[in-house]
Order: sequence, then structure tokens, then C-alpha cells
Amino acid sequence: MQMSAPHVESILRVRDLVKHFPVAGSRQVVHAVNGVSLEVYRGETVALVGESGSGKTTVGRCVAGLLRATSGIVIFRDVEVNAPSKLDYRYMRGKIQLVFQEPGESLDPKMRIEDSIAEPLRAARWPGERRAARVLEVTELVGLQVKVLRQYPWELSAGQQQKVAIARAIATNPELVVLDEPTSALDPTARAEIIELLRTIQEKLGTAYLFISHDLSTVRYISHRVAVMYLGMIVEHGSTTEIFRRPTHPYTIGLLSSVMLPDPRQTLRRGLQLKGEIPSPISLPQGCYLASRCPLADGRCRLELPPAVDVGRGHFVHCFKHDETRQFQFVAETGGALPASASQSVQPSP
Amino acid sequence: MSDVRLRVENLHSYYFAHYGTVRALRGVDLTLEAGSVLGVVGESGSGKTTLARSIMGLLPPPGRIVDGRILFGGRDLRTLTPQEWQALRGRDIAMIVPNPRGELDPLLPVGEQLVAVIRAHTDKGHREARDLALGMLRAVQIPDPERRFRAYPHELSGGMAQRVVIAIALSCSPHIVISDDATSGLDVTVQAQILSLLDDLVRQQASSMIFITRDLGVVAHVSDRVAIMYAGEIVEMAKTTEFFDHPAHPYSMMLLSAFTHDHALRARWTKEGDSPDLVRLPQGCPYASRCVRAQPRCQAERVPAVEVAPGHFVRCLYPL
Amino acid sequence: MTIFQYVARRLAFIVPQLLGIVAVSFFLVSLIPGDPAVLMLGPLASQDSIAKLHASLGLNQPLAIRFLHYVWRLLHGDLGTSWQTQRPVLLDLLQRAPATIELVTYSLLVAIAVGIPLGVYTAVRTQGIPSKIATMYGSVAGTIPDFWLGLVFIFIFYNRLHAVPAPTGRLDLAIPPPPTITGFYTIDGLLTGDWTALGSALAHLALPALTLGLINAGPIFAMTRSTVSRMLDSNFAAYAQLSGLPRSLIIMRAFRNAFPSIVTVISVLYGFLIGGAVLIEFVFSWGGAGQYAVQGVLNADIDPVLGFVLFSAIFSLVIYLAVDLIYFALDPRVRR
Repeated sequence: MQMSAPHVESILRVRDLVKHFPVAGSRQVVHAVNGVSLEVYRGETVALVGESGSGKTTVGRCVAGLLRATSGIVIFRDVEVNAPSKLDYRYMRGKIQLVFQEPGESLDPKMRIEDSIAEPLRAARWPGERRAARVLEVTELVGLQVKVLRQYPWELSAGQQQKVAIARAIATNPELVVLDEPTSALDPTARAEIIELLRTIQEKLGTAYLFISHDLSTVRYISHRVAVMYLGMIVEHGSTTEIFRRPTHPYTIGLLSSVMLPDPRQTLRRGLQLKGEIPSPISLPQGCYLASRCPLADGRCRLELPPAVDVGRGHFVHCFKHDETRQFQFVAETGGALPASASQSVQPSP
Repeated sequence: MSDVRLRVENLHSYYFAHYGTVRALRGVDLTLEAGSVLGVVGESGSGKTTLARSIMGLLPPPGRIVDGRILFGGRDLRTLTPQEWQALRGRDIAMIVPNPRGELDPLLPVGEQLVAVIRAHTDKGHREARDLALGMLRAVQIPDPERRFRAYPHELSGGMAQRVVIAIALSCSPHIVISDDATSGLDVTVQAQILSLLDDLVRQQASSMIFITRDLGVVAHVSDRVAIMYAGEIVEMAKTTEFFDHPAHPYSMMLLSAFTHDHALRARWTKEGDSPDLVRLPQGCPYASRCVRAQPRCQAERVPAVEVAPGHFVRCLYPL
Repeated sequence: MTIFQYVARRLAFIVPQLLGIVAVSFFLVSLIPGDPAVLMLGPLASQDSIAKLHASLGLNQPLAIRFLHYVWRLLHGDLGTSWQTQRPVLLDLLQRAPATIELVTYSLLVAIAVGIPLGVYTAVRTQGIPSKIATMYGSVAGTIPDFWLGLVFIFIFYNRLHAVPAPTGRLDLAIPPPPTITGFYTIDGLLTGDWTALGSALAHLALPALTLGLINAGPIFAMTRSTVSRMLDSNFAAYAQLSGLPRSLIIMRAFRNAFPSIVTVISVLYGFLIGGAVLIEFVFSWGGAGQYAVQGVLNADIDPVLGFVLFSAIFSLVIYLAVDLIYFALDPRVRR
């Protein structure tokens, strides 16, 4: 199920991205992102994986230019996303698009679907007649019927709304779409459909995705490369095959161990069990951020922040104990196997 | 034959709304054996929460149990007086609720809320109840329980609040714990911890549990038997291993197929269609409109439950 | 956050708030028709003497300058002089404000004593005849004019039953006021052991306080009923019921959670009644601050009006500060 990255031309570079948010009524700050570097190549999908509080959404918003980074640089093509000139900004707006988790919230309830889809085109100053043609084109591309164009968001199902959001995002032919948990608000059937659609669009248009998700099973299916985030840092990154075959950071292993598959023979306590919960991003712990939850942590882990270690094949891990995690490694299953009867004929025998 | 803690027979619960009668539960039969966990799986609107509320005797109006029996401890719970109900809830049958931060009183320290439940069901004094409460907070592995005892709900993370609610539910060693979607809002690493904890505690106390969820993956790990609900009926019920090895209802297969990466296989068992309107239910099988196996007979006849293997029941005319 | 930080932060806002209120009311009051000089000198005064008086009152200066003068005097504790009473406004207010505050406070106590129990009762028992009657009372209470009810009460309790003294102020004419400590006759009477004055003051308070209380119980009743019933329908009450907690405890918790909203409506009423009780003050010849201000408005006597506005503003701000402290004590979510 693995796809190879089709191109090697880099379109997005993020270096040492830091984003702090002030805490209301206090001098403290929330350390949402603490030094993230990543690169996205043309036409590939990079997944940012993490649980709530990992900072993955904040990275996505900084990349899309919705938030201004506290420090660090985000370069899209040759444009500094954090400080674009007016001209660059307009260029960028067409070239990076964003899809949110809640499709219902990102669509204006008082706007017809066609106007919602045309909005980014208008912002990118497409002339009227080309706009209408393009709206039709992308509507077909995402597999929606033309009649929905005259409807309003509330008349559509959540899955259809998310298709509209995707149509809107790809209307301007962007090179990069930031997808922020695009499927987690949907039920399983609609989720599968949206993921399939995103893959088809990438094949047809060569759009790169920054895919933000907590759902490892989806990530494995759709992405070429994976970066695992914890408390505002990337703790492990590498190709999807590598990460799922050789998960090395204790957090990644813990995350994979927590995936519940419909297989009663898999025990609850396999792999590696993380203790406790994510620490507060207001006062960051000293040393490795995972130390308080990690069964392998020792004195050094609690004092020093582990640097990136290359464990081969472009696979990097921020962990002093990366040699010892092998005992917990397992070949992660993220998709369920169906019973044999699933392959038999759907139609009942007479 | 292991002894039965709870037996639900032919339970019908309806909501008498102004636009019509919502038939949320239509003839549910189930048994819960001592020390076992029954997983109840269904999408929203399948009636799983109505089932929990019916067993707890707290259907929100305009809901009402219209038929059936709920047998517990040699009595039909439907005949209890309000006073008997109050004594029973939390002591004999306890419930774990989802989104616990919204379910706790925002103005009271969580420890005091735990103490209040203990004191309502035992004759312990405040000091004794407090000791037991602290012990419960420790048992659900809350770090620094003395400090957390004094914390207010908004000061706890979702995972911590969930542990508090589990502590409340288990504080009086109930015979039956009903967990309604208890881990749905949590991060996966925390969910795994909570499930292990719940599993341990329930088995330690030899309680029985009804574990309600929409996630088949979770059910595979915690339950001894699985019941699949659709449109107010249990459409399939079996031992957990039997269910996952030989799912018999097309709906069960559709739910399972959502987990696979095999797109073609998934598409095979999935058909777009409307969920049934519980006010105007079709005459035949309610799943027929979404069923890939549906035949003309399915639309026409009411479907009885059949036993396809020992202890494996399915409500389908053409089981797999 | 400690309670001191919290209070300090609230106090820091009071000064700009007061300045804003003074500014707005100054310019609004300047729109009141009527020339104080003409009213003071009478219809026969010459143009010349009117112009002279204008100059001495500073009325010939631009509005902005007059405002600055007013603020300057305020900063020195000078609220100006009433031409009607020929006394400093500050002294007039110090004498009359306790009358109004006393009346309003007792009225509110009546309103609370009626509104809250009725509200809780109807929230808990939504069905039944007592509940229906209470609901009817709640909807009627808000619509009856207070002065009308006051007159009806005077007719019944004074004219017919002779149960209360004549509606002629705060005390019987023959009884001297108790020695002034706070200006509240009931408190001063109690403190100095002047039982005759205390008895007379209470007897005179009874009817006006009952009138205002019964009418203003309306909003308190409505707020109590709606918030308590909302709390009884809320998740935590449902959860408490699921845990088998007794009904009485659940009602108590619902009330505690509803209490901040009830306190809010009481505080708003308190601030409002300082000026809003004026018709009752007239009906019972109360001689309070509201009556004083209305006389000022009718006679283009500007300083008493401004003084009264300032007084009620400060009073309201103090009440709101007290309410915030109550929130702070009650609701842990505020303490952040």
C-alpha cells in the first residue's frame, strides 16, 4: 500500500518554527510549537501525527499563513510565509489552501455552495466566466452532483460538506493543501470515501498535502512520509514504511500500541504503555518531553533534550534510548483484517 | 451455567414526541452474566444510550418504557418505587458517562462529589467516606490524590475527569457498571490506559459491565460478548471471538470493513442509503435500505432473531 | 489569582467608569429645557439681571469649559449647590440618600424572600395548582405600576384597616429621629436603643417596602425559576441522579449553580431601584434622593441632578463590586 514520492522538488521548508501563545491575564505563554523543521516535496503527502496538545494544528496554521510564527522561518517556494509582501501574499493565497476538521464551520451558512467554492477564486482574482467554469470542474472532480451548487451547507451531509471544502481548497490549483484532521468528524464510511478522494486528486493534480491527523491508520494509508509530534516537537520522522515497520521513538511505539483494532486476540497491553498524560505546554519539562511518561527514561533523559539521531534510511529519532526501544517494537497493524467470509459473494445463495 | 446478573426481556422504550412516536428500543433481549463484560455497539441513533437509560430507570421525558421486563436481583426494575430506584442507582447499578467534565458539578471539588455518592449509599461518616474516596482516587491511578481531591472539575484534564467518574461509579462496588461511550473523547494513549484500568477494576470487584461504544475496535479488547444495535434492535449478538471470526449480519460486516485498508473490499459491503426514521419504520428489516445483500423479502417481512451457532444470534433472513 | 489582586483590578476600572458616567450625564443634563436663572429670579426679572446671574453661574461659558469646571470642583469634593434648597448638594444627598437606600434595601429583602422560594418551588414542581398560581403572580408582578399598588395598599391598610401609620414620610411627625449614626433610622434606632423611633420607622417602612418588594419579586422569581430549572435539566444534575443522590441534595446543588445569576438580577434591581423607587417616594412622601433629583429636573436645578446621578453610579458600582466578590467566592472558575 506504499506510494513512492513522485517528485523531489521541495516546495515548503519550515525551519525551527516556534509558536507561543500568551495566557490571558498572566505573563506565561503556551509553548505550542517548540522548534519544528520539516520539508514538503512537490506532489507528496507529509503527515503530522500527534495527539491533542502536540502542536500539529498550530504548525499547519503557521504554514498556511493563518498564524504568524514567534520565530523560525516558513518558506513556500521563494516566499517567506511569515512576512509576505502584498504581492507574495496574493500569490500564496492561491497556492496554499487549508481544509479544516469541521466542514460545517468552515462554510458560510448563508452562502450557496457555488459561492463558497468560488470564494478563493475571487480572492485570487480569477475573471468571472473562468470562475464559473472552474467551479463546475472541481465539483465534478470531487464527485459531487451539480445540483448541490445551488444548495446551502445545511442541506448537505457532513461527508458532502467536506467534499465541498476540498473542492474549494483545490479550486485555485494549489501546490500545497494543509488538511487539518479532515476526516475525524466523519463516520467511518464517509471517512473512507474522503481519503479515497484525496488520493485520487493527488494522482490527477499532483497536489502536495500536509496531512494533520491523530489517526494512524489513515495516515499510514495516505502519506509518503510521517512526522510524529509531541508537545510541540517532532520526535520521529521518516518514510511511512519506515515509521510503521520500525517505530523507534517510545512515543511512536506507545501511540501505535494504543490503536484498537477489531481483533480480540490482540491484547490491551502489547507494545509499550505510556504512563500518565501530556504535560502542560505552559511550563515545559526539562530534558526529553516524554521522560515523565516513558518506561525507559533515566536520569539523562530528565536533564537533556535528546538530539536527532539518524537510524538509517532517512529515519530520524529524538531519543537517547533508541537502541533499547527495539524490544518493544512490533510490526504495527493499523488496518483490520476482515474475516474470510468478507470475500465471499455479497448476494445470498438462493 | 453461570449465574445471570441482569436479564432484559422484550424491552420497548419509546419517545412520545409531538411529531410522532420515536420507537427507540423495539424488543431488546439480553442477559448479563456475573463477572462478564457485554459490549454494545451501535451508531448514534441506534438506541444504545436509550438502553442504558432504560436500565437505569432514567429515560428523559418524553421517553417511557412501554413494554418488557428488566430483571435484577429477583425483581423487575420497572416495579421499583422512586425511593428504591434512588437507593439502587450508584450502589447496585452504576454508570460511567462520556464527557465527564460536563457531568460533574462545576462548583464542588471532585473529592466532595465522590464523598456525597459514598455517603448517599452507605452509613459511613464524613471522615470514613473521605478515606474511601481517597482510596478510590488512588485505585483509578490519579497521581497526587490528596491534591486532586480538592480540585474542581474544570481543573482536570479529560482523562483525569474520566478517572474520577470511574472512581465514583466503582466506589460502592456495584454489581453492574454501565459505561456509555466513556472513552470516546480521549486521546488514544489515554484511552488505552483508561480501558486497561476499567478492565482491571471491574474484574477485581467481580462486577459485570455493559460497555456501550460506537467503536468496534475498543469492544474487541474489553468485552466477552458483543451485541450490535441498529435502529432500536439488537441485530447480532455473540461471544466476542465468535463475532469477529464469523460476523453474520451484513451490518456487522459493514462496520468491520471500515477498518480495512482494502478499498475494494470495503466498497463491497457498503451501500449509501438513509438511516431509518424511527418514527416511520419500514415494515421489514430496517437495514434493508443500506444492505448490500437485501432481497425483496427483506422489505416485506419482520425479521426474527435466529441462532446461527450456539449462543450466536442474528436478526437477518440471509445471514452470512 | 488572589482576592486582593482581583479587587485591585476591579477598582482600577472604577475611576474611568465614573468619569465616563459623569461626562455622559453632564451633557445629557445640559439638554434639559429651562433656564435656571429665569426660574431663580422669577418671571419679572430684567434681561440685565438674568445676564448677570448667567455670568456668576458660569452659564455663559461653552459647555466643554463648564464640564471641566464641574470635574475640577468634583475632585475637591464639591458637588455644587442647589438653588432650591440653598444648600450644598453633598449635604442634601447625605441627608436623603439613607432614606432611599433604607427603603430600597428593605424592599429588596421582601422581594428576595418572596421571589427565591417561589422560584425554586416552581422549578422543582412544574405541575400543580400552587405552581400555576405562582406563575400567574410572576407574570402579573412585572406589569403592575408600583405607585398604583402603593395607593391601593394605602387605601386598604391605612384608610380601611388602620393597620399602618399615615403615608407621610419615614416617622410619625411627633417622634424625633434617632441620633444620627448611619442615617438609617432602623439601624440607628437599634444602635441607640431608641425603640419608639425604631418601631415607628418600621411601621412606616412596611407599606412602601411591601409594595416595591412584591413588584420586584417578579424578576427575581423569574430568574430563579428559569436558572434553577435549567440547572435541574443540566448534565450534572442528571449525573447526580444517575449516581443515586437524594433529590434534596440535587436541588441544593442546582440552586447553588443558579445562585450567581440570581445575585446578578438582584444587584441590577438594587442599582435600578435607587432611582426607580421615586414614584413610591412621592406616594409615601418619603423625602428620599430620588424625589430630590426629580425636583431638580423639574426646576432646571442642575447640580442636584448631577449629584444624584453620581451617587447612584457609585452605589451601583459598589454593588457590582460586591457581586463580583460573591462570584469569586462561589465559582472556582472565576479564580483564574
